[in-house]
Amino acid sequence: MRRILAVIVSVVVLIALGAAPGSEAAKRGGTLKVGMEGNIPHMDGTIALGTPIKFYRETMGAGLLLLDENYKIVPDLAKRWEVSDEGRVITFYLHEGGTFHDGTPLDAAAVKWNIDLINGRVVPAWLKKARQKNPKLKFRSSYRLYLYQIKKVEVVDKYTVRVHQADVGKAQTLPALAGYFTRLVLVSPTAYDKAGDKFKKHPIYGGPFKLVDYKPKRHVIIERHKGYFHKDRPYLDRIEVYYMPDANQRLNALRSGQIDVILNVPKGLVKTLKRTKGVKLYQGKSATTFAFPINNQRGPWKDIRVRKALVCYGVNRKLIVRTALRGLTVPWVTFSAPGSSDAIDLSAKCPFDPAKAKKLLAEAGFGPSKPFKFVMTINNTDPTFVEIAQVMKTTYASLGVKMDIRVVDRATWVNLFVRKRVTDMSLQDTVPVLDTNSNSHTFFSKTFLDYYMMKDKKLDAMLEEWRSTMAPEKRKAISHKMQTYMFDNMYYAALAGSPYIQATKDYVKGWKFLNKLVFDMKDVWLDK
Amino acid sequence: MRTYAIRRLLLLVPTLLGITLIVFLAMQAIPGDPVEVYLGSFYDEATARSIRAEYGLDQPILVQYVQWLGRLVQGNWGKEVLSGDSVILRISERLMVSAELIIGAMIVALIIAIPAGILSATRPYTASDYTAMTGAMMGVSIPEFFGGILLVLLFSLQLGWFPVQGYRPWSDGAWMHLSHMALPTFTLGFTRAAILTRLVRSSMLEIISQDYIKTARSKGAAEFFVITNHALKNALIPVVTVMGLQVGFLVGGTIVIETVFSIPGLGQYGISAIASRDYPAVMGFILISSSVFVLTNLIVDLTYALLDPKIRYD
Repeated sequence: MRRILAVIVSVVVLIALGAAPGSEAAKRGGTLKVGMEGNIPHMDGTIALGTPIKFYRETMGAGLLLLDENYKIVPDLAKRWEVSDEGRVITFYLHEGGTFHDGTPLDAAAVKWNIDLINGRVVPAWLKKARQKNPKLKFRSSYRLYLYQIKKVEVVDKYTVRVHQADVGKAQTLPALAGYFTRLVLVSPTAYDKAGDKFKKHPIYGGPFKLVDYKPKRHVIIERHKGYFHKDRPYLDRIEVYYMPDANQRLNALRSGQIDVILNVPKGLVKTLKRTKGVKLYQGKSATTFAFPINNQRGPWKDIRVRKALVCYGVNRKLIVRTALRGLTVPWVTFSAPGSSDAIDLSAKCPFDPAKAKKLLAEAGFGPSKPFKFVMTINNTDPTFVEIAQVMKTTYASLGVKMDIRVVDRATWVNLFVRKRVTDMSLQDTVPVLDTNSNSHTFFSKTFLDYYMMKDKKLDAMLEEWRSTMAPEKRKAISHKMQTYMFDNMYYAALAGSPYIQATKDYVKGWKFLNKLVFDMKDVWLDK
Repeated sequence: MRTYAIRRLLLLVPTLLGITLIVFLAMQAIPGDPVEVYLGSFYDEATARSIRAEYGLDQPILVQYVQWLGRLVQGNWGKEVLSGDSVILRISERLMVSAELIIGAMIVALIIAIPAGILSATRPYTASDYTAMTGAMMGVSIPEFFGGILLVLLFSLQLGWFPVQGYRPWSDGAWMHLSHMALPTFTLGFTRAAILTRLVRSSMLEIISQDYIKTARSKGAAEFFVITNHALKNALIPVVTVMGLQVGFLVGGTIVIETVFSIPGLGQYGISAIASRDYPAVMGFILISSSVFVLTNLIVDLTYALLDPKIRYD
């Protein structure tokens, strides 16, 4: 009798454990439907062109490394890695038996080919052919920005690959491979070599999902890849991504069950979604910042007193966070975002202090008889920009500063802000930042992309020191020193964290919220 | 009438040449080019120069225009800069979607406007007249995007009859296709119905006070016959004019509805081409929308002769 009772109790306990929320068994199959606000003109993932293409590239692709939800570097195709020779050599041991979507092997040779392509040591056949027509034709992968230090890639055996690196830059390889905005996703050498144009329409990666149908401005349909190196993943059979430019329609589609996920919930709709039954919101500490970048080399902005007045004391960050940003984030003044791994909060040093701002402006020669005038140029891609600009205009007016707002479309904005660099001030929702180095091309004067125009050799030296330092704690200290230096000079005009929120139906399980740094859908499953 | 039609068709050539030249020059005058959009915040001069050379964007403006014209004459509308897709292929796909939306909207508009306008005109200052005119006023006053959202709230979220948004081709099944097109078509049609109802009413009011209508009635003709055969036919001339203009405008003007309901139509294509400075796509869009506009007006002019035998073009 006791034995029977013990068996019954054990069974009951096991059933109860099985039903506990944390131990749900993942179900295989099903189709996940996603609402996407942005369209992509093509699907070539060798050039990073914004969040939508990053989502497709990373959902379909595999890289060497990944981030987990705590921003710890974890395996992807590389099941483990070893760092030697003071960081100059990294050996990656790859998962075996995986294939690209075209059936070709996903092995050490493919990894070598990809890294050599990025660094210009491999020229694909289509490019050679195109160069016969136009010898000036260049191929520059945006991945090179953070992987240029890899000087040689050695295939040790079929599933072991070793990279040899220069001293400067060796420290950024692992984070860049795992979670920078330009995180490496491997392409099939066979497919990419043959046809660049065809690849643009039908990319061949080696990740958990493969492309089935891509109709620009309509949908992207992807399905489980049977040759994926994790044999028990992904759980989903299929993901359908629908282009939905209108925010309200994305919201309504989620509420009606037409879609299961909104990848980027507009700030104005968060309140409504919080009240909606059956919907789960994901938000963490933001890995991106809202910035109002100034051109540090332009006219009066060269004067640190002007920068301190208008970037630090003259901006009511708390008011902007409360109004335009709906209280969804925190005021912020440094380069790395509040959720970045090396964030440093110096916002207390920059209180809204109109008297101090006026005094600094007066010292710089601006006052009632000679008011400071400038134009803020913003693009029309995010309604929040206009709201923030209006608040700033009113605040600046109280200091006697005349700010005009010029709203332009994105093409004009890129032309004025990025290419010609002729704007006084702008507004920008930056790319996600894992650490200070991960978006440093915007201020490192040795690149051609330093549109923040800091042009400071001391800062460049600090950055190179960061890129050469292997110990994470030492690197963090350098990063804090660098951010404090930028703050002291008021080079970088951060405003607040940028709230990034995702919403799913409550039956979507295994969802990883990684702040746009990485999109990883292989563990997602549907409990319905 | 045939000579007139041919003359009008020939006039189409210089008209389109003028339009495309102006648009081409205007596109070059505004800041930004497709390469800047393509590279975005990763823009660097060396890569940009290389891409510009690849697409011939480094040539002088007039050379680019003449090259484009040269290709066009050979039936080659060019390729989109950003995606490399054939412009004519993309436009023809989207034109079909927009044409269906516009024709559907016009049918909805006529189904509502003609009976409502007649009812309103034949029973002026009665409850039915006030109801029709209030409905028309609402249709004119409510912006399309707002009307669309209201319809979605009612028919999709509350009643669950139609999907919230999206487009499905006929190949996915007739019901699937029609259910996706129903709300956008009705939203677009309702606004046009409001404009046409007011027009039918005022036109009918003028016609039914004419002597020949009184004559028809005094001859003992049935009221239904008088209204449909004598009054309506003559009242339709201004309606046809406005309808023609509406169709022309709608080819590029469906952008709001296409955005709200995520319909991959021509309006959406044009706006996105302009925003990304994709010159071949913009030129293709302008060429097709202006051709449709001019041709629709020609058809409207020819229809006058059918509606009113007094009008002749010889």
